[in-house]
Amino acid sequence: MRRLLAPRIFAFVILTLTLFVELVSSLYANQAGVIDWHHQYIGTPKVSFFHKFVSRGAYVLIASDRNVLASINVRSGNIDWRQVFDENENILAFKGYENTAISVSQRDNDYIVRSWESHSGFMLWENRIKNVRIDKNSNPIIENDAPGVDVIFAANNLGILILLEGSTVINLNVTDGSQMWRSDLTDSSTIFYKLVEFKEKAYGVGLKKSFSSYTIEVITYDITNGISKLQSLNSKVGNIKDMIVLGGSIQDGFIIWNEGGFIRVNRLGTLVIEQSSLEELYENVIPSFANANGKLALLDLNLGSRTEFLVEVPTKEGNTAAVFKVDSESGRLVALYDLEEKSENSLYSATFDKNSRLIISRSRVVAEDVAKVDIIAPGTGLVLGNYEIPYSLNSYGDLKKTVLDVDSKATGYRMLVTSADGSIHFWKDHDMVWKSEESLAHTIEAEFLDLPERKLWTQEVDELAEQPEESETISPLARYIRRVKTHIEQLKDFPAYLTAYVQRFIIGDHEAELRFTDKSKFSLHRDTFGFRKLLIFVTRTKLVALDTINKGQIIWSRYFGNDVFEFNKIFIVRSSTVKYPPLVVAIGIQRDSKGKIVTRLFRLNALTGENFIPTENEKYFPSELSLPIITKRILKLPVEEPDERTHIIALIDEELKFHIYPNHENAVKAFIQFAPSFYFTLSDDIGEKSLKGYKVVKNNVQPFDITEVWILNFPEGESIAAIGRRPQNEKIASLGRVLGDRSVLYKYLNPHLVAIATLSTSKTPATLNIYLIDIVKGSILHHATHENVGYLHPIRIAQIENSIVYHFWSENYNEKGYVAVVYELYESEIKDQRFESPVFSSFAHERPYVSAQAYMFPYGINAIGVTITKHGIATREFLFALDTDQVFGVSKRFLDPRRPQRVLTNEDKEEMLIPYDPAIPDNKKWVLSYHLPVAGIRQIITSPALLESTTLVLAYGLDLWFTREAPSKTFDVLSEDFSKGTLLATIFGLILGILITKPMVRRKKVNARWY
Amino acid sequence: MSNKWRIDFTNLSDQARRYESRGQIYIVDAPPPPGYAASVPAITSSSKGNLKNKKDVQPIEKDQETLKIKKAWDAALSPGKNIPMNAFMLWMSGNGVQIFSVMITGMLFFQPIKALMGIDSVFERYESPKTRQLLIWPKLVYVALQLLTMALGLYKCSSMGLLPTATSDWLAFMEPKQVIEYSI
Repeated sequence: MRRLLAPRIFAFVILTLTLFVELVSSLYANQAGVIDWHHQYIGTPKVSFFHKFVSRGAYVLIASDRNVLASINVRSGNIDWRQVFDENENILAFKGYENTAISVSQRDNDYIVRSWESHSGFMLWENRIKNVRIDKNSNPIIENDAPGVDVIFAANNLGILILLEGSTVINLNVTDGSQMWRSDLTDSSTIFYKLVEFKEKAYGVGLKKSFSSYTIEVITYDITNGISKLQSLNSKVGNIKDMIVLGGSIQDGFIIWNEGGFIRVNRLGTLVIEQSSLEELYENVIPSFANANGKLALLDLNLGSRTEFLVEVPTKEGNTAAVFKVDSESGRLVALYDLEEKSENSLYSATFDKNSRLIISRSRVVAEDVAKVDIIAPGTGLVLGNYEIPYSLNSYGDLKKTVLDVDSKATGYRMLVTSADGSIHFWKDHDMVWKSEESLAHTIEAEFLDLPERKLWTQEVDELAEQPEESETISPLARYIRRVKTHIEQLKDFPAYLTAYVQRFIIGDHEAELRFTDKSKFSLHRDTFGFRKLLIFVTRTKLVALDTINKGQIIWSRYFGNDVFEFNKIFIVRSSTVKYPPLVVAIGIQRDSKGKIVTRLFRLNALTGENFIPTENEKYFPSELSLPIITKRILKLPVEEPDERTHIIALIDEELKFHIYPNHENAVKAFIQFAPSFYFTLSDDIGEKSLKGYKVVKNNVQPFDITEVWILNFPEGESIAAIGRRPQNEKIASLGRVLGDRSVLYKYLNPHLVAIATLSTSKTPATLNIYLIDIVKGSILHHATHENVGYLHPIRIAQIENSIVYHFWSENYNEKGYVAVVYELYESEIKDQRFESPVFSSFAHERPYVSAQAYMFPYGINAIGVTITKHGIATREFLFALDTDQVFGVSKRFLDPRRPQRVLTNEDKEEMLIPYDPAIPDNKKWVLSYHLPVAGIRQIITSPALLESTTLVLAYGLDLWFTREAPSKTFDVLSEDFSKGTLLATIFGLILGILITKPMVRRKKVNARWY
Repeated sequence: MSNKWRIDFTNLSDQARRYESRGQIYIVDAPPPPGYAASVPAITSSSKGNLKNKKDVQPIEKDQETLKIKKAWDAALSPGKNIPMNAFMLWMSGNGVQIFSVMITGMLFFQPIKALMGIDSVFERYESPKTRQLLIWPKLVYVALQLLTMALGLYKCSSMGLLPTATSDWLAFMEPKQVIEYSI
């Protein structure tokens, strides 16, 4: 490459340019956050509460389903602190007390209790609790995701009582986490759910399985020494949801359950049971319960030691609810307030104000874009306020959970709302103060979408789209007049363009035109350099489109929770063209009315998120489709159907039938033409023990049959640990690699090559096998084995062009550490030699020459990405998602198997090789994400900009982080600090100089002639 | 009255009209001024119809032609004298692709081309009906030497790697292989 004539001249031009341009090698502090953006997420809250302690103000503490603990500033929505746990360490409980918060998490079979300073997020202590009886089978009645885990603070004794797995109770010292006592229950038929503490005693409330129902069991502990006593209550409970436990701490605790036609109440520590008849309740006490037609539900309001609770009853017109209270003196049920209003989806939450007055909120979505909140004080029966908040049902789905907080006088309220898509919203009075798109913490896949060019004037578009035959019918003069008219029309935009140009020239900022303040001006179009694209994310039940500029602002989002249980794939089936909008197809699963799993497909306009309905082919081109199949694999085929020019999507179901979408006649025709040369694999997932190749059978009927072409069984004990495929959007600039003596090594560019890493864990340390497999014929083109590999560290493999990079942990005694290995595949080991053929066929029996080199790598990684540029000329850079939450870019020049292990010869220098070094340097300048903690990266995807030098990079997982990376520096743009002003001043100065001196010189010349 | 410093051109003796040039004796109307060496014989001698004088004129013309050819050869060989200097400059400028080496190499191409374009003007003054045939050889040598200078430039280009002589130079024009099978 380097020796080519053109690049040489190119290099010369670059060289001359460098005289004027100062290249920037790394980021300056003031450039941070200018081109990149970082969205921090925490996941959907499992536990969330307002935490107030002394003068520090209120903040929300959240434990999420992505195993994150976080404190969120209620005013701004910013994360004050965040602790990200390991992916396989589930947080089960989280509770705040004064200036600490206690978390309980489970990792493998151990429970870990940690204490955090609640305003800083520093960990105070940690206690790992082992040997807890874990009996997963005996928990049939539990439906919540924290099986039998409860945490309470025993205020008077400086102790924390923790119930684990419904069977073990421990008492830890609140100051240092040391264990004061522990009690393990041996009877496996009882599972405990709740702990209550009062009057120096702790009570565990559980359910014991009897014949058809459950009996309530209470265990009483002496809080100082843990001596316990088990008691059984005379009771029958059908389900855990029919029982709640209230009170404790400063007052007595009560168990309330629903048994037969009664609500029964037991004061903990006694065997006395008070009961209230439901019949009476329905008919006399609460008027809105009169038409009850279903089972009532007891709702715990999580009010700590308070004894108020909610009873919800379904009626014909919707659910209604009433507030009850257990009177701590008498131990009887008291009805407080009838909430009356009937609606299907009301959510309740409660808190109390400064005067210990109970405040209840009722929230629901009342229209497509409005949610309503009622604030009620049940004690006095006052409705304190009705509020309407803008809320998009289409984007977020229904409300799932609310957490209420009121100020001291309860004149207003604030509320943390979790919606069905997993997002968090913060409401205050009539406004949504902030929201966080937490659904993106559950991103399944993400894709870059190119935006269409700025819409040319429609007349011109029509002109461009005109067929040649059509143009011929119009006389040349008419065509000419039409063109001139178009140009005159376009001239109207010229002043605006000129001002924009001058502005851009002065600011030197090409994105200025895209940074919009006025929404009406905003339209989705590509910018000059192609830096602007859409990022389409598919999360569990939602599609979200983000802008790559404007700090990743959301362009559209759409919630599919009512139609889809879980999405698995998204494809861009049509990219932007002049006339047609870009299209995406999202594919997910859903249970139909009979409980059978169906596959659902949605085809959307990628610029708006709306269903795409073509104007002409509507009938056989449905934008929503439900297929009664369970898919094994979904593929985007490299063939387009002729009507709408969308890529055909193939779905292979469990019965090995091959369906295509869309499946109208022309699409089938296009597919049948393509099918004979099409091969695909199944069972190519992590953990599989074999790989199978298939081909579509020619039976011309839908669904198509497929036939197994080959099967590759990995040796005993091996299973797939990682798969590396070549990115579909890669561009290759050169077919060979140019060496120092100007000869060529031809790259082996097999589009069917898949790199598979298998781990054999039958003995430890494990063995890592790397297979390069041609998936058309199923042959292994190369095989390598690494002994002594640590299987606990993830194995990652990436492929681009003719190179493959993989990363693992080596347990070898002399090289313990992370190892990165790079392969390069060539057609021959001998220079200038290749497989002479104008075509590439997998059946040609050509085996590549593999050159490889290994390096010690400074970090563990979670993902590998590769930069992709427009033409593939710029040096590639491998992007590693480090386990230190950073993105680390290593140039291909460092991961190059041709790095010589000797003193550099002239030819090596000519090839610009770097001498081999066994370690990839831990160069902090290579960290692209500078100081940002980009947590939980699972994937790094890249997309080329219109500039050859630049790649758009997105890292996603928990956080989102986007940047533009120029692996060979931005050689094709003037740097920002290029002083245009000086240049202009010089030019104008020179012109001025000429103007002044010209008459002077002329006069002098004339005078000279006279004498 | 005779004076040493006076010559009466009206009554010159034969002796006085004798004029010797290059070993030849000419009788002229008037002797040339003292110290004058005539390269072109006086016309009067031929007008006298002296056969001997006519014979004398031809060697003089031949002389002129030889002189012209000689001069032409000098001109033809002059580019050759620059070659060592150019070679030295090339050697000094090194094999890197830099502004000076490229400029010098460029000069090595432009100068010969310019010179070849102007070859007629270089040899114009040596041209006469007689010498036209003979000038072919110096011209050919001149062209050859200019080509040699260009070859020097070419050599420089090749040593700088600017000549598309290696396989790598044609790599970019190679079509990628057409893939027959598709796979996902």
